[in-house]
Amino acid sequence: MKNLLRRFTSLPFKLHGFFVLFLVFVLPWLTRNTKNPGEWFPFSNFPMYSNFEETAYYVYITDLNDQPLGTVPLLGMTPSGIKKSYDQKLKSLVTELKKNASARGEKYRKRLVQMEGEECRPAGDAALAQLMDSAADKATLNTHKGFRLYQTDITLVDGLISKRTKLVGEVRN
Amino acid sequence: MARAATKKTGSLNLNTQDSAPAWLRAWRFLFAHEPMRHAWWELLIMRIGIAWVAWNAIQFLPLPFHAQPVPHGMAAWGMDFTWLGDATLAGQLRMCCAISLVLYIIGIWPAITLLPPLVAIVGQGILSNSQGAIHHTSQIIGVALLAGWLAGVWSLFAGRKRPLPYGFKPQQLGMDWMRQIVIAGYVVSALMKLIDSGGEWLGNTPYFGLQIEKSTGMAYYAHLQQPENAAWLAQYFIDHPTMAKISIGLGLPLELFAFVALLNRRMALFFGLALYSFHLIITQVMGLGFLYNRMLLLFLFINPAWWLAFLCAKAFGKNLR
Repeated sequence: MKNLLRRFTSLPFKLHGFFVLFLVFVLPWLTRNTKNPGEWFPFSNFPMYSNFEETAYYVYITDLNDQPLGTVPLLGMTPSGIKKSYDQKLKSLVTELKKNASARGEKYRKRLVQMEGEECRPAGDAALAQLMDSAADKATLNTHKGFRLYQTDITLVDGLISKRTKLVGEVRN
Repeated sequence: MARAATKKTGSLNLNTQDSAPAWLRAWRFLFAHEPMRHAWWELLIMRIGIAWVAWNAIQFLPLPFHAQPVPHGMAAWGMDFTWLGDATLAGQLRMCCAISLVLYIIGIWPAITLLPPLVAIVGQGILSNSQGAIHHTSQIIGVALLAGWLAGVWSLFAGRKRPLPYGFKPQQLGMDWMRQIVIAGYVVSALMKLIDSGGEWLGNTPYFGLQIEKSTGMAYYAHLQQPENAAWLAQYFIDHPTMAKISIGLGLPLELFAFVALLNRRMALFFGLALYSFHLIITQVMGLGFLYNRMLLLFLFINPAWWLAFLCAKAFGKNLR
């Protein structure tokens, strides 16, 4: 046992090996009850693009006349950041819908991109409201009467990339 | 004997007088563990590079956030990082970081001089991630600085009782630990691809086309400007799944075996260049930056100054140690 321990401690790149094991196994376990298991800045187990699915989506923001607005000048955030925030709320909503369906003795089987816009509204409204609350530049926000959040679903139809856009959130000033 | 000599000096083993079989000499040439004991001028260039990356990463201060609506990391433990959104306090921290990074470049105690930029980068990462979305942009420089700082602390305390590993000097240990931590990110990323996809990552790579379409859309709505990425590849990967598997799939072994870059300067150069190119391609296709990753690969692994000096020394028939 002592020899084994000595051999391990004589291995090169111990810090590297320890760090890999920590990020892959320990960190996800320690953060299992958080919204993003495996993430604890500056540590991450890099789940991005770890599993490609046959659907994807992105979001964008418009004014109440449906004119798109650049998210960086408006909120200081990229659509990627807005999508991640909305995605968390959407997944919580789906968990809730599954629970409700289960209580009725049914099963909720819809995928995120199969949900209708109206069904996503609680998540979209909450994400928009949170973005507006935490934005630093309130003066720019106040030049608009309100905002809408749109979700563009990307799927494959007969081998061709197909897009469908739906309204998922709205806030009014 | 030749191998022992190589271990001792950390220089290139190109000894053609070695009586070992050719395959064994080739194996040693590629995979011998030769701790990289950098010369003072290499360390200076590397410190300039790291300080430059760190300085770029704190240019986002003050952050445009004044709340932690979805507390992340240490913020979830009750720590408040909203002061990084205050122009005065953030300005003072930036000034402190500027002085610290200059002292770090000079070579003064990383245990002290790396602390302010480490606090700034980790703090802004936590505040940014506490807005409800997880970002990884400055993660790589955050962990690199953490490794450099830990090596500085280790050298101060443990280094007094016994020699540092492989006869490293404190600054050399700092670079070694930074390399180990930076490359761990790539290995972990590859392992997660295998774990999360249940081993089907390669088979699903044609769906990467949908991710390109997504990135193109998101890049447009950031500033309402058409991005200049290779958006045509989206449908191409769907139409040519084998090409998708080959071109995207190559990234997996590159990341999985990236730890080989820690063995010696030759492997560091090879993996450094390969991973740098990998990031460049992703930037072209997806419009994602990876500036900090590329710069750290350049300074810590590719290390062009040393290779230039090595080639010059060879040309003049001298040995570079």
